Amino acid sequence: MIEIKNMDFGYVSQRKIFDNLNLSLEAGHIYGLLGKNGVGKTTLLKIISGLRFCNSGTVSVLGMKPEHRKPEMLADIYFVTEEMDVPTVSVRDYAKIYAPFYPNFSTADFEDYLHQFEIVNLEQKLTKMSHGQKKKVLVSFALATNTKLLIMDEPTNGMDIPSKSTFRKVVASAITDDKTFIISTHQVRDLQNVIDAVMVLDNGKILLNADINTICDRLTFKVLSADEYEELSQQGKVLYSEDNIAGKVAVCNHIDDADDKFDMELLFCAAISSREKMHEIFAERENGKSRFADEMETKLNN
Amino acid sequence: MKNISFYRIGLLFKRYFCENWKKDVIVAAIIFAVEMLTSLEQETSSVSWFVLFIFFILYSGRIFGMLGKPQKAINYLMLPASRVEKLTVNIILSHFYYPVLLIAASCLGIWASSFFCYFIYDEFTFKSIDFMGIWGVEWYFVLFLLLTNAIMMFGSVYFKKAAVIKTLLCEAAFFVAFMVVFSGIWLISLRNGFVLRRIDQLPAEWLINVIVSAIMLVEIAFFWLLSYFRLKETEA
Repeated sequence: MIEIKNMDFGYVSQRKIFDNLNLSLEAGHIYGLLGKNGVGKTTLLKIISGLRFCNSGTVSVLGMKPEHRKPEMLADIYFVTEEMDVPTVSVRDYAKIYAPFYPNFSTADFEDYLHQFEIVNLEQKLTKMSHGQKKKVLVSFALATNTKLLIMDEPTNGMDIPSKSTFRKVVASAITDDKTFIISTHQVRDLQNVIDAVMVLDNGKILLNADINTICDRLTFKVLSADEYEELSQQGKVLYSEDNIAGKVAVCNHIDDADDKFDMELLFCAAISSREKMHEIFAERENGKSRFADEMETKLNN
Repeated sequence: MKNISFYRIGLLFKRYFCENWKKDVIVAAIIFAVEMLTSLEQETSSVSWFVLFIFFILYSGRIFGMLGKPQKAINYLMLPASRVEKLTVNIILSHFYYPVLLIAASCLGIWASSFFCYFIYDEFTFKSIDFMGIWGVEWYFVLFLLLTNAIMMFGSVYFKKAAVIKTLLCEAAFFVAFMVVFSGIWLISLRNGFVLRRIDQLPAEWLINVIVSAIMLVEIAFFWLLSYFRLKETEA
């Protein structure tokens, strides 16, 4: 779906934002793009959309070069930006004007998503709506286009709490095997249950790109007692920890039979604070093998 | 998918008219009212070309205004249509649709004044319109209008803010520079006793017309091409 190889990019030549960045995204996943402020998340999304051009390296999206912005590619990509600019038309007219550009647009889906977001007045002008309402309309429209690649930059910003829940629901219902969603966000808790793969961008490179199953296969997210923490720390298994009321919430190397719950915020903090260890743990993925596969292979050989 | 699709061009037009029809109607109504009121006392009225020209410039100078703001630029550049289609639609809008709209509003305003007079003075006199020979002698006026629109359109894709004023300033600066260079060459040639060819040695008038027209048409196409190149660029 998306292949980025040895990509360099900088707004000014002296300061590179991406340095030899490699990334491969497959269809059928909802990717969460995480990173600190100013690390280049939006820029990466713009490069994928063809709105920015890389300085060197190759970028391929749906088998095409995004910088060409060919109509057939644009008809299969939708980009929901963080800030929005909407025309002075009603919700219904907006769909009438823009839907024909997208061959797979479904009016029934659009109305269904709007209904779920409780946008009932389709005659209301977009410019008269609040920021959150506009976002709901644009997210509904974006999902209804049924494009192969849907990019959303901070989609839950401005949404109220029930709408964030609805957002998770509609996004989860819209993904199919031939689609890829990329959601860039700082609101990790809003999207924790909908994202099934995580990319962490740091220092111009992809620090982590793994699906949730692989992450849970290799890491453990657990509340540790003082003794457990001490023991695991001595073994060098704790990647990141922070205090909470029950003890220490920690991200550790995988512990067998641990009753844990994936926490994206902790994962991000662990990735940023233990870059080297994280790289070691997930390096096998780049070679196409998982630790589980290695263990199985060893057992079979024995 | 083809690089040029009439279906997508139609969609781009539909998008424009759905989003902007009210603004265009308001401007047409203003022109209509102005022409009607200024034609009341005249038997033969001429279209107020100067006023229309100002409107053309303002319109063409803002035709790609959506590229000036990042969010609008992203929305526009991500629209599933090719650059050629987007440029074509904006050329047609700024060079043909808008002039026709305003000229039609002017003519309707002048003719409407005939009926208005009937209600005021109780006598009906149909007012004829003097088109200033626009279809014949003033061929250069049409070319000049197209060239100005092409330059203003390029200005609207090139400058992010206050595109109309900045384009006019650039044009003025270019004109001054051109005049300085031209005057310099003229003065040097005079001092050296070199006189340009005598008038009777110049090529035939029709040939000059063809050459000047061709140069202006090339310039128009040149500025369209420059606008096209901007559409190939990034969103900001």
